Amino acid sequence: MNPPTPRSRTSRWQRFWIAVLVVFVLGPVLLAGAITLTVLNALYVGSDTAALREVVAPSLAQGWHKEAEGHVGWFPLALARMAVRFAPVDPEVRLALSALRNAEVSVHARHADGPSAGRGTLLSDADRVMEARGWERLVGAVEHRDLVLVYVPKNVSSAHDIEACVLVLEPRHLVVASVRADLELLLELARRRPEWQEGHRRLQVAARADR
Amino acid sequence: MRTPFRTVTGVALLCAALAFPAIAETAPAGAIDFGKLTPAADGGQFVEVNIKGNLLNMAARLAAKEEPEIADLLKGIQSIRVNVVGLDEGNRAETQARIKAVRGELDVKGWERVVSVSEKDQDVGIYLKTRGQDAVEGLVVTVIENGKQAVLVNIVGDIRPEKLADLGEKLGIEPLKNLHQTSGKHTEKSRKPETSEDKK
Repeated sequence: MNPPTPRSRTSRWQRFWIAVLVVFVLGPVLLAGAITLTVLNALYVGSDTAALREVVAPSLAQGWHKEAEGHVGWFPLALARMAVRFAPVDPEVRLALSALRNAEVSVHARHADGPSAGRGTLLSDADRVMEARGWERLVGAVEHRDLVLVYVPKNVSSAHDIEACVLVLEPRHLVVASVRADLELLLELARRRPEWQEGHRRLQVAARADR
Repeated sequence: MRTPFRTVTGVALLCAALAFPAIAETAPAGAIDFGKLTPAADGGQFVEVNIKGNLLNMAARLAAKEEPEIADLLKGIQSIRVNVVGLDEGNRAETQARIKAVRGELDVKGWERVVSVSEKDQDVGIYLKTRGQDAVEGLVVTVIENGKQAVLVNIVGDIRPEKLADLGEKLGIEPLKNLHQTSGKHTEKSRKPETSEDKK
């Protein structure tokens, strides 16, 4: 019987120390890096949301100041979904976390009504900017000095993964938000709300009255 | 081995030439471009809703559970565009001219005017684009109310004539709700004689 050669013993030890290096050194470094990136990412909105915001408040000029800005991506949402499995939370919270893929919001305010372009001009400018980025406008509404715009990607293919970018502008408040979610689950969540059921009941009564 | 370069190039050019008309054709027959509508400068209401293809299919599937009637109505619809424009001194003339231009375009393209009501406080036009005897592939509704508000609606797709009134009810289009009295007959209701200008 041949004794094991020194070379195979060495390679076995090498593999052992490489495994130790990966598990106890590289692993924590990578985890720390992922957490750092997630935290940094959470402080800013994505480029499409920022571009829509810049149409109204270019470089935060005209008296606009940032009140809040944040982004929640797939990693923290996945962690949250994992955590609520073991926590006694409302089923609606679980459903909301399951529906959500990605969300970000940017909130700005100004103390006085400063100068701003007409709502029609803002609407056209926003359309131009968002179309160049692959979005198309689903809803545009102007009333007095309020403006609401909703954009969706041009190639929407599945209700389980749908994105929307929303802008709401009032004289002294600006909210730009973007969300990516499972629309079917969101609707299921909405259906469970008492406001939805009450509204649905009123619609049915009105429809019967019309007939 | 000889490379049939000329043959391959010729076939590629032929395919491109045959495909060009397909590429050039974009809008379906029932679609009408309302053009750019200007909101009122005094902050009057301006609403534009534009829902196309995939989103409508999704809406039909999602509505099937609780609102099967709406899901049934949405089946076959390719796009819905609704514009509500508040009118003031700044945009009234332009919007009225645009609506007149749209109506002229519809007449030229062979759309059937099924309702034409012109009263002191309301000007309503409903047009249908038919395909054969029983199929409707486009619907346009234009309304000017009291000189204060204009409404334009374009629905494109496979629209069943017997469902037009239901569509008006579900989407809140008042003139369409009353269309059930004339749906399928394609008659024109006019309370004011057509002027020679209308016939142009």
